[in-house]
Amino acid sequence: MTTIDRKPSAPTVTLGGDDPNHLVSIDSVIGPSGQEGTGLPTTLVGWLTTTNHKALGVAYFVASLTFLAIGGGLAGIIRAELTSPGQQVVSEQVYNQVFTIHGSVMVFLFAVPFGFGLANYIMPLQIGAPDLAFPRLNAFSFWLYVIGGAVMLFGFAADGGAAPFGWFAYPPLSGASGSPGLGADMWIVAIILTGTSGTLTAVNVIATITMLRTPGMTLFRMPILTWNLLVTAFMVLVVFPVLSGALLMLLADRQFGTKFYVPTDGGSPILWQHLFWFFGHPEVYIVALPFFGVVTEIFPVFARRPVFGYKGLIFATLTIGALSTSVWAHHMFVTGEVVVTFFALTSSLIAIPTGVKVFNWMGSMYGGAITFEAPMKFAIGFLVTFVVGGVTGVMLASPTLDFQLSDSFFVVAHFHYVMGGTVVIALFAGIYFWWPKVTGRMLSERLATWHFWLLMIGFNMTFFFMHLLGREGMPRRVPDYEPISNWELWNQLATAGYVILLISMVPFLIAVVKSLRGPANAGADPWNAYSLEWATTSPPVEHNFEWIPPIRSERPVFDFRWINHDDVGAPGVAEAWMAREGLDDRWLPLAGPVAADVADDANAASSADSDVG
Amino acid sequence: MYFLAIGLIYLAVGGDPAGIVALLMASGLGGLIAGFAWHFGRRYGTRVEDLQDSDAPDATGVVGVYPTASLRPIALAFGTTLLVLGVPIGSWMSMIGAAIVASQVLLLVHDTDD
Repeated sequence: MTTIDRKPSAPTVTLGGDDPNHLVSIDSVIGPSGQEGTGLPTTLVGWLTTTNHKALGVAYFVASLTFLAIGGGLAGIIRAELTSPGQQVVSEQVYNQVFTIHGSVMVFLFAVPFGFGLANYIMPLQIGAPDLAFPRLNAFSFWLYVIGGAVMLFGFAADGGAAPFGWFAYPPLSGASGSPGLGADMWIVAIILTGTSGTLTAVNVIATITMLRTPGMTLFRMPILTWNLLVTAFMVLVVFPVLSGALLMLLADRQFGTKFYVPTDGGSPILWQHLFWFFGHPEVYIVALPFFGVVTEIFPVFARRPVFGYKGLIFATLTIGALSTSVWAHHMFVTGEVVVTFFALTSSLIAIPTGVKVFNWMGSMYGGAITFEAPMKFAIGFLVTFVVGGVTGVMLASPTLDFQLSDSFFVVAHFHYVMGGTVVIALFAGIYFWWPKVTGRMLSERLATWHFWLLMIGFNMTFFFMHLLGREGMPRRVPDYEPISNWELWNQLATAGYVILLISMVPFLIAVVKSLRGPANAGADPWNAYSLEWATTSPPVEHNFEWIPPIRSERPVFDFRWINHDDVGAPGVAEAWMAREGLDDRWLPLAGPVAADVADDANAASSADSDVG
Repeated sequence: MYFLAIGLIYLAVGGDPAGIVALLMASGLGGLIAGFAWHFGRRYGTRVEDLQDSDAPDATGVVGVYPTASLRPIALAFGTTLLVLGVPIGSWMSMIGAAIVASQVLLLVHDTDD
């Protein structure tokens, strides 16, 4: 086992240098790192065996972005097939497999795990924790996810190909007679494995936030991202077991001849729909909430304002989390088997806390001294696309419209605006924001601007025209269509948008390569940001902190930077800082059982010094 | 409490049995977490992390004790995959998976990483 010893820290008299009114630079306080290493492995074996949260966080980021590339590639096949009427690229069977695995990869293997990457890398830093509560469980969760994802993709190599029934696997199509191949079973196994991985990660996140916060980091001083990850983890614990149960029943139907979903033998396909969407709609928020957290970290920093309505945002998140579990059957309006009024009402209600969030994000920017560095550009891009997706979501919550638009390209457009706008654009906002923290390097602003505009143009071209296709009645999940109305034109524009989306990745990849080859000179706090992760070196030392500022608000780094200015930061910071005088060797938080011994040793040493004196 | 309330409302408006059970089960799952939090709070009281005016020196010393790198997690994940994948592929695979899982759990429990 590894024990991490305390290190001495900078003397308080250096604060602000010679000028007492000067803003405090975090770099000047923490100085060069006294610890060796960053916790990131340097060998392949090191990566395969690591239990460090930052290494696993990076592994989650890389793995989920790899799955994004795979899912994006599959989307390219779909767009190529739909560019013109007739079948050009793949057979109907392969087309079914492609859109199934595209959706499954994007939802289960990219979007959710990227959020877990944030929970791994950023969350412990934000609460002053040295790692997640259960590091080996964390490593197990990660590998279960990666291996589970591989199982799903290997379905393409199975006899009969991959699962062909769409990412929500409605029986009887997903039953033994509807999809007889091994690829369908591999899909089910993959989702069970990744679901289990997610459940274990949720346990880890809740335990970490409950147990490993640094002193002073009370619940209502936690950054919004951490709050959102906490609520997400609770939602995972509530709905993932339902999905796992439903999948086990489906697997039993296929393998052991049970009849849970077989209507001819007393089973009910509608049961699957209920169970799947009881998971499936909260899943949208499980995906989205971490990214809501990402942009909530970014807006205030680049508007030079505190977040507007901190507690309001937390309660909106809690409300979304609760409401999201009672809206599932709006996905099932057209079955005619659900209480339409109940679900139309609850689905519409969820627009309220979501609207509160949008209002608070705008409030955080209102009146601020906004600058448009890359993270802010992408965060605003997220806001625009998310609002469009949210508005079409409210439309689909109305049963009257839903009956008309169900299973049309309108739903595809809505879903991609919500998930694409929320996840992909906010994801890049987060990457640009925390890249300096993770690598110690900056990304090119010029290339980021190219990346942003190409992404926004490509994204909107790809998905906006799908609204029109859906309105005109084009069904989703078809490999072919008649050349009626403007369907061909809109499909061609969507495909052109997809190509622009692909091209938008070029400046990003160039920026990444250039950055990694450049010097690590970003410093601890390049954005003059607020939360605790900016109080450590970039990249952080092995167990994150050698020093932690006093925490008296949700903006500890801001408070500390302004410590020499009365009435700017939170009250009590200067007093807490001064109280540390003479305690230079006792600054670190988070004692293990050994801590008491260390404290006793320190006290004994102090007494001995007094005796000598 | 929310799940319980919404579950009862859903029951009252004639909701489907699966939805009612799922909502009530969610009440149970939520209750499990709430119960743990309540028990923890009752047993340990307010901790230094939750005090408004506490600071890093109030809980000081060695940062923590953390496991070093280990092959067990990846081996356990591999074994678990074989265990479940064996259901559609063949019991032989499940048996290999079960053996890997059992051995890795045993090793994990006794792993001291000195």
